[in-house]
Parts: sequence; C-alpha cells; structure tokens
Amino acid sequence: MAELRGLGAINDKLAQQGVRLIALSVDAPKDSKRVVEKNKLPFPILADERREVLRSYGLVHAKGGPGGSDVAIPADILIDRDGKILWKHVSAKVTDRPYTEEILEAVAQHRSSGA
Amino acid sequence: MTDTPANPAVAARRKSLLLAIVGLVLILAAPFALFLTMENEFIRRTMFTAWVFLAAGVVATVMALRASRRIPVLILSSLTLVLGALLVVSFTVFTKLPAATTINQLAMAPDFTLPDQEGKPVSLSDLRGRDRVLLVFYRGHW
Repeated sequence: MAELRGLGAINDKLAQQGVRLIALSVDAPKDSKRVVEKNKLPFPILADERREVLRSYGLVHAKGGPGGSDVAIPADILIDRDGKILWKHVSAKVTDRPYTEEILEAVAQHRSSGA
Repeated sequence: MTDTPANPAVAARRKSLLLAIVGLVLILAAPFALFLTMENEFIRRTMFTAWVFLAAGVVATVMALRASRRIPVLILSSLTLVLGALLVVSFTVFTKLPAATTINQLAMAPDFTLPDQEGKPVSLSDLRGRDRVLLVFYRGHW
C-alpha cells in the first residue's frame, strides 16, 4: 500500500512528462476499488484475476501469494506509444522496488522514439 | 534497611536479567517497528528499522550473557537468539523472488484488455496511443 501511495505522489509529475500510470494486480476489482478509495489513488488498478497478463509478460510468481495462489513478480515497465518497452525494473526480492526518483529519472531519460 | 544490593554479584544478576529482557523485547519489537516506519521508501527497500532493532537486541543479549550465565538469562537469551535467527531468515531467504526470464526477452509490451477497479475494460493499446504508459505489476503487502 505504501508503494502505491508513493506512486500516487508522483502521478502528477508523470502526467507532466506524458506518462500514464497503470497498476495491475491479481485482486478482484472490488478489492482494488477499496485500495484505490482508501489510499486516494489517482491511477487505476487493473484486475488480472486469471493471471493471463502475468503469464504473457512472464511475471508469475507461482504459489507466491496467500493460500498458495499465483501472484505477480513486482515489476515497473515503461512502454512507448508504439508498444515498445523503453525501460523496466523487475524485482529480485519482495523489498526490491524502484525508488520514485529512479522512476522519474527513467521517464526523463527514455523519451518516446519518434514524435 | 533499604533494598540496595550490597553484593555486587546480585547487582550483576539483576542487570543481566534486565538486559536479557530488553534484548528479547527489542527482537519482538523489530517487525512492529518496521511496520510503523514503512511509509519511507528507503526503509521499505532495506528494512533498516528491523535490522537496527535486531542488532540492538543481539547486543543487549550478548551483554546480558557476559554479566551472568544463570538459567533465567540463558533461557531468555536462547529465545532471543532463536527468534532473531528466524527474523533474519525471513528477511533474507523468504523475500527472494523467482527469476523472471520472459520479460527480458520481450521488446514489445503484449497488449491486453482488463477491467479496472470500477469494472470498466481498459486496453493497453488504447492508453499508449497518446501517452507513454508506466505499467506497475503490483502485489499486496509491501
């Protein structure tokens, strides 16, 4: 939750740089809605309940969640307007999340190719 | 007659017991102290608060053992060191994630359509057409 609040705090700066912030989890929409409302998040949380998107990105942590459920390997991926991956940070440990400063630096460095 | 211990050995035992208790309390408090300071990015990343409490607990326990080896102190110290070891293992071993391989081979971000928290379908291709997208794969509890 603190991670999401931290991201919420840089949402405006990201928007100024032309970047839309989208979070994705395996939680059901109603659970994510609680999280969004409770933490007053300015960005949406998408629901990948069937873990299909996790699989297509290769970010499944099999049995890593409560009750042995599959959850996400945490990752931040900066995607260009044409779908190209510009930058990513994939966590090796649960505590290994990029600092918001690192995200802002990556956004400033990896501008869109072309227009 | 006041209750001051004239015998330095008694004083040492009391100090030792107190230190052993303090050591155990610090170890038990480590996860809570971490939780209370979690809003800070640096602490979330390094678990700094927990390590400080752990180290302080170990120091207090070692000091206790040096002052006395009586049974109560030994019991408390053993408990502290076992719990401390469990905490260290959970902070190091249990935080490891499996290596993600596929993502490193992807040049393009696979498209998808998923419901947002209101149930409204959101497509990656719709979003990124106008802006760059920062897609954050999130898991709870951290």
